Amino acid sequence: MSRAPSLVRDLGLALVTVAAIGTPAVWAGTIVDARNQSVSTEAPSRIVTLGSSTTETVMALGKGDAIVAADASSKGIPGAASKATLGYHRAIGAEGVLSMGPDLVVGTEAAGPPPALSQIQAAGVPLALLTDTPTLKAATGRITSLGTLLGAEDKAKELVTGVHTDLDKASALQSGEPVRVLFLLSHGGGAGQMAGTKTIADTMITLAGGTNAFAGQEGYTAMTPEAVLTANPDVVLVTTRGLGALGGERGLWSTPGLAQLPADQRKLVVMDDNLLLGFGPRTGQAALELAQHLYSDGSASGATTP
Amino acid sequence: MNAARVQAPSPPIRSRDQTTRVASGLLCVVALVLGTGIGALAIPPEALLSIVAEALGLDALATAHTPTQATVLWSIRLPRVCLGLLIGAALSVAGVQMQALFRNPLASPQLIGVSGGAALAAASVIALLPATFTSGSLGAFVLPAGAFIGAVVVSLVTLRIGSRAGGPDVVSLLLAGVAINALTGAGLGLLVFIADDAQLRSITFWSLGSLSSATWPTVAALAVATGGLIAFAWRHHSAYDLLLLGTEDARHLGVDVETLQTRMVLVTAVAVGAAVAFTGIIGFVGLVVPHLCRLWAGPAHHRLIPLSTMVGGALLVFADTTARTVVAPAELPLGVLTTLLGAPFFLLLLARARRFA
Repeated sequence: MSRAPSLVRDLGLALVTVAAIGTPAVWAGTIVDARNQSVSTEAPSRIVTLGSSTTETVMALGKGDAIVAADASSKGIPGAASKATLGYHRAIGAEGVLSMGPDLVVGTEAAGPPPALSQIQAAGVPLALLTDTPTLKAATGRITSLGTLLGAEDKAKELVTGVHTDLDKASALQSGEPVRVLFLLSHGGGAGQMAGTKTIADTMITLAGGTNAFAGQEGYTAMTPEAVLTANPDVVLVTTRGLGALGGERGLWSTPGLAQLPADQRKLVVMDDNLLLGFGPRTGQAALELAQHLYSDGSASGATTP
Repeated sequence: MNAARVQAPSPPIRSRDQTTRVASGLLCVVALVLGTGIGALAIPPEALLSIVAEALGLDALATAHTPTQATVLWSIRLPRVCLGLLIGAALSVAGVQMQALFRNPLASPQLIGVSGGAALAAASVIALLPATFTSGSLGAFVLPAGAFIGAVVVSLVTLRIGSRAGGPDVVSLLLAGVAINALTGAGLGLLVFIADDAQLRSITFWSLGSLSSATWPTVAALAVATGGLIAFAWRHHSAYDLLLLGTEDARHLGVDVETLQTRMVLVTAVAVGAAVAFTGIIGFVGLVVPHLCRLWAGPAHHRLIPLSTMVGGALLVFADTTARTVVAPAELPLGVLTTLLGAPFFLLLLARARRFA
């Protein structure tokens, strides 16, 4: 599973290299970002990325080598671990960012604090903040915007087409009633949190052709036994790290609430954190993988490999 | 008796005063130079001089720096160092003032609910206000404004509850403060429960404290608040000495105790509220620095107030310089660092005090 994206990336890199050699040098990328500010760059070669979806998209566009530093949330993305780390993207320091000598800073609206961002802009470094809403349109919009900004429009189109192709494949898999999926998030400590509406997990479940079993509330809510039984999920979805924090498969099924689910509803799907929640260029791939778990073999219980 | 000794210093004390003044002044200068010279972006001394030369209009000498270095120095590092000095001074002098008010070396501004109120208000802004309010050009001021209002309102409530006819009653004020702090803590817990993942992390980072929001307007606002606090404390330094004798004795010696105590709380609330509003919670400075200064120069406020101003400012600049360089280009939360350094130091003082006792 992990080989495919790196192949895609290498191909992308090759394509972009060819494009860069073929069309001599200067391109100017101009976009209007989520703050309604117009941002222009010319072939940025030292990029700072804030937020894992931004980092992953820049890498998928074949510009990974130009990234000089990324925020802490990007650590888990293959290939980004070697980049300098700027700390949490909501609490960056302006001088730390500027010390990397960037010619472009890209992030999502979640980046901050605002004074640090204005100081970066005041130092003459172009700053683009992309939308952060958990919708498919926002995810593909980020790819397109970054493609324009980095002079990789063709690659961006290719990625967006890839996302839609995978999503079409995912919806083709759906048969019968939509599967009721409960997503559990856990960073250790406590029983975990259930994903309600307006979360990335909710969007991913919908894209994979399932229904969110806990759709009564917005955002994440602490898991309680009764809420789990009320949600009455057919399948429980967790991330690899989340499963570890919940005490592995055995620990998970002995959690009050989950332990009381009927035997035929005790199905578990485990997916890689960054794949499922990254909401970048692999959104389609993630939805397709989830749909395969939900619909392909009729049983999701065996799908414990990330 | 104390007051008498203070008013007639013998020559050795005067020369010690001078040493103290010079030493604390030097400490401040060293902190300023280090804080300005060190950072994630390398600005070597010759670049520093060249930037200064440019500012003075000596363009011929201004050749050894890049525009980025100049921007970092003028609009990021200098305001940050200045803000550090002001915040450190404000927290320390407020600590001195609260310890005089409560006649207790364990008192700190936190006791009257300043930080609790600010934290509650800041968390409310983060978790409850729609994002449209907190983004955009005005958005950067919504959070500090909210935190400031929260700090002042909660302190006023504490003062109101802790006052008898005429003025504050120290024991009631203390108890009211404890209860109010518990209440703001519970409110904060409720907001943490409501907040989503991203908001939760913002609340956490806010409460860890940082000077990374330092800008010149922030420095100007804090200069007014800190200046007011220090001027107030300085004007009343001999009354603070008398307060240490007890409220009755102070009253008999001519201090308008009730009015003074009320004003002490109000001034602390405004100054510390302003500090906390821009930086989040920076722990232990208000407690440790007055202690340290008392060990150094004794309990008389005419020495304690200026010394706390200098030492508090210098220490916070040192701490912030460490916070922004040890894990560069990332930054350690400043509040974590001050507590991490302050708490063991405080324990050391305690252990030493016990051995001498």
